[in-house]
Amino acid sequence: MRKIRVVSKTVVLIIILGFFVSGGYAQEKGKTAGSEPIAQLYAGAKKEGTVIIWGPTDAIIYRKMQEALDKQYPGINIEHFESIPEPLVQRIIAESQAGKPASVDIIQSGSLRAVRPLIDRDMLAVYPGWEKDFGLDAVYAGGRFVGAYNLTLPIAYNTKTVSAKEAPKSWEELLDPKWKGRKIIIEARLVPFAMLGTDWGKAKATELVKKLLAQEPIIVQGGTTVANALAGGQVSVAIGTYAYTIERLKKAGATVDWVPVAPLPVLTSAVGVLKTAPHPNAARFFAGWMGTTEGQKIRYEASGQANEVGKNAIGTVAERINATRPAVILETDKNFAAILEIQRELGKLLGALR
Amino acid sequence: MIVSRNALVSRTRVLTAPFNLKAAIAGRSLAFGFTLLIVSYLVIVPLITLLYASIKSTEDKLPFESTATTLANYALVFSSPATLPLLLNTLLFTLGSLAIGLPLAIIFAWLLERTAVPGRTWIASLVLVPMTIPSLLSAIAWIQLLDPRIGLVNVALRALLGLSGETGPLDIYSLGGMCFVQGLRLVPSAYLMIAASFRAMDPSLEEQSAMAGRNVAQTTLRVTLPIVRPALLAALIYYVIVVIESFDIPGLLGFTARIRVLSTAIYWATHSEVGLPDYGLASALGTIVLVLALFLMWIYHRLTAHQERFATITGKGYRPRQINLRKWKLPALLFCLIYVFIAVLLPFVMLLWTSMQPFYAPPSMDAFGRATFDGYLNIWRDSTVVRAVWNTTILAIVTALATIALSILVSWFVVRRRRESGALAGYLATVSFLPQGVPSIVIGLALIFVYVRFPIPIYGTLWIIALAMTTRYLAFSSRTTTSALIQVHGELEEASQMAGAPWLRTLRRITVPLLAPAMINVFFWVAVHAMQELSMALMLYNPSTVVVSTMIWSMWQNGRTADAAVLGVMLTLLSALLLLGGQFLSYLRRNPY
Repeated sequence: MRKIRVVSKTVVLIIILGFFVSGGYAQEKGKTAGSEPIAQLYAGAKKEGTVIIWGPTDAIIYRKMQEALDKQYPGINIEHFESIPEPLVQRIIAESQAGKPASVDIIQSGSLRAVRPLIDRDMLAVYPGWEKDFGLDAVYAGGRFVGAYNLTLPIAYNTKTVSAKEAPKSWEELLDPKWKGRKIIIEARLVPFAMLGTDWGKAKATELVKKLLAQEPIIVQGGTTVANALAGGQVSVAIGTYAYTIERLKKAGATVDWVPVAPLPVLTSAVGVLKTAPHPNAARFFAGWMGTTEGQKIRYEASGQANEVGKNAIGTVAERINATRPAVILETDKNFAAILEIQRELGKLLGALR
Repeated sequence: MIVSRNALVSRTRVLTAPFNLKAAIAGRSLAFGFTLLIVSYLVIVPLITLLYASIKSTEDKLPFESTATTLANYALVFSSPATLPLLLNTLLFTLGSLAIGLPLAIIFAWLLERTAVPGRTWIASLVLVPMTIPSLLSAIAWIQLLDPRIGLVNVALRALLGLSGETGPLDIYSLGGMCFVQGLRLVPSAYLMIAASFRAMDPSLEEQSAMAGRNVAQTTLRVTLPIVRPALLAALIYYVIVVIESFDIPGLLGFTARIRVLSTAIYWATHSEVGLPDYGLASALGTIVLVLALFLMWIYHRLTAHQERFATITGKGYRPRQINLRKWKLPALLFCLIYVFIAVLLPFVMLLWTSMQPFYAPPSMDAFGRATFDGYLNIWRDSTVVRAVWNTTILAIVTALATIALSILVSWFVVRRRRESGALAGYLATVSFLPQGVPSIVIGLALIFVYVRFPIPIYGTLWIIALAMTTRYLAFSSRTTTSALIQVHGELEEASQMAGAPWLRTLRRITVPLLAPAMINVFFWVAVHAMQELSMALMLYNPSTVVVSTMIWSMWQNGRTADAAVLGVMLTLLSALLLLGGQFLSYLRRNPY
């Protein structure tokens, strides 16, 4: 009888301990980085219930993120408005000047330069928690922006017309006479060359573009049009489309590939929270969560986009960059003014007046 | 359309009240004042924004943020060594495109409205279809057809002619290629603008010419074309500005062809994705277009000064009759079919092909194996698509109706009050044309700045987009209705008013029915363009006012080319259906029994 009592007490103790242990584990699992500030932020976010994000990301990605968030951090509804940042930035400025309450929490851009006007006008809130609590390294402009994903701008080629061996391995190789005559396609905004200019100097980048234009390339506006021309065999080499786009086309069966050429320009798509955001906690929490490996995985699986350089980099593009380790020119708040200036100069070669 | 003298007499017979000159003038003056006010308001807001922005230092600033006033934007435009080549290229591109587009439009208007070419009702609908394909997708389709390396037409020509080499013989990336594609894009709209005037012509003039021994060609050149001169001039000046402004073709072909035009420079200033648009520079460039628009309007006024000479619809009754082409019937039909094949079928098939491919690939057996119609089912899973289709339909109808109503008032006062209040009528005619000279993005910005502060709560709604589009399309629609009204003699309205009908009733019962062909054309033109407009919609839309054009654009930017093409095909079919409906209505009006 005593034995039975001891056994039953032991079982109860084990059950109680098990309950606490499992409960504690469950609580731990709910935290991204296991820190108290994040739990507090999540509690605030849950109370606000909604986060409104404006930016160019495909709506499909946010639908996937909503599904993941509902499972792990229920109570936050993502309201997404898909558009390019330029008109959005103008509207945010105009609404703010008219004294209208902000109708958006987070602004996202495909590149840091596009949202620079908001930094200039001090309209973004500083949040050190992204770095300190979420452990993210892609934090810019003194904690005003956190990286959402990268857009690597490599040299891409059509594997049907160009072998891996023949493909240009450096920017200078694009000047080889074999590429003369509508064999190269270039995106008209010349972003990769403007970024190269920050490393090489404006004169060298301008000289490269001038010589490249003498190769009689096809020049069109829009990265998608560039990628399509390459996939469709219209050209052999493409500049101005993204590495993740090429990887996505490869998966779909297109005969395309890319070279992690050095130096490799990498744009930063970043998100920032407005000072006047109606849901500041939800905005900070969601922006931070998107930057974590968990958030990155969902974005990557839905679209192929992810952080391609840095601590939280994942995916095929990141793997290929890590394998060859080319020098990377990453767009940050430190160099975006220089990129902008060189881009404007290069634009004059294509008809821009200023 | 058959409008017999008896029908008009019966219309005026119902008007039995004694004529009250004082009341008629009061009602008319009120309407004149209202029209002046509304048109001025619609046009002046973006116009002031344009001029204001052009004298502000707007690098990294929005026009209303800037405190510094400067002429630096103009100084840059007029001192830059790039400006002269830009203007010369623009001139060549404009002349080349018009040289292709306008004669084709005139030929179609004459063939389909004045002759008995077989299948004219169907051909008249098909001629308009290219207008319904979104311009970006249409330009891409043309590249797929005429690219020197993989373009289907070039591949076929190389095989047919036994040509060696990997490229040619045709090169779309040239001035000729740009003019060809742009010219073909102009045909449907220019046809719509001109066709109503051909339709409303008094055939007795042509008959008299024939009786005097002139053949069809001589009659057309010496009688028909001079009578429709106002419509031709209206089309000419309108499309000069349209070509100067258009960016789709220069953006896709011009960079490669090294043909930099004015719209390329405006594009660089406003869409360079390097922070805020450079509104100062864009507006200074836009002012050049505006001055040109004013100059063209002045020429138009001078050339149509004695407008009664062009009136062919009079109280004497008329019955448009079709010319029998006899031995030229088949060549004319063949000409129409070749156009339909080149301008309608080829680009549409390429668009359809793109919508069936997971990524773009030229037609081949491999690619054919990958073709799927899944996109047409999957697209409806996105609830935004349903909302966008609904919003687009509402926007198209509201914009078209508002634009027509305003245009009829503008045209009536411009044409009928020219003698009484020449300066104000001239002002109305000019001001209604000016929005065409203001870049769309400037109209969008002006409305944001005004309505974000204005007590009228339309900011963030569909109505602000409709307002922007009504402003934008007023130029086309008032040009078309004015040309048509010039051909309607005032004596019909005078008869009605003498019988005691108030001005508004006369307008409703006499003028509007006579302008019906032009109004139907304007309705469909505006509706189709409102469905496709992107620049203003991108500035003004929000999640609840998403439209199909912005969705196509977003999908394209995100690499979802097949989805964008699926929506493009659907938009084309929807617009084509509307056009066919319009043509059917016109057909019923022409053949009531």
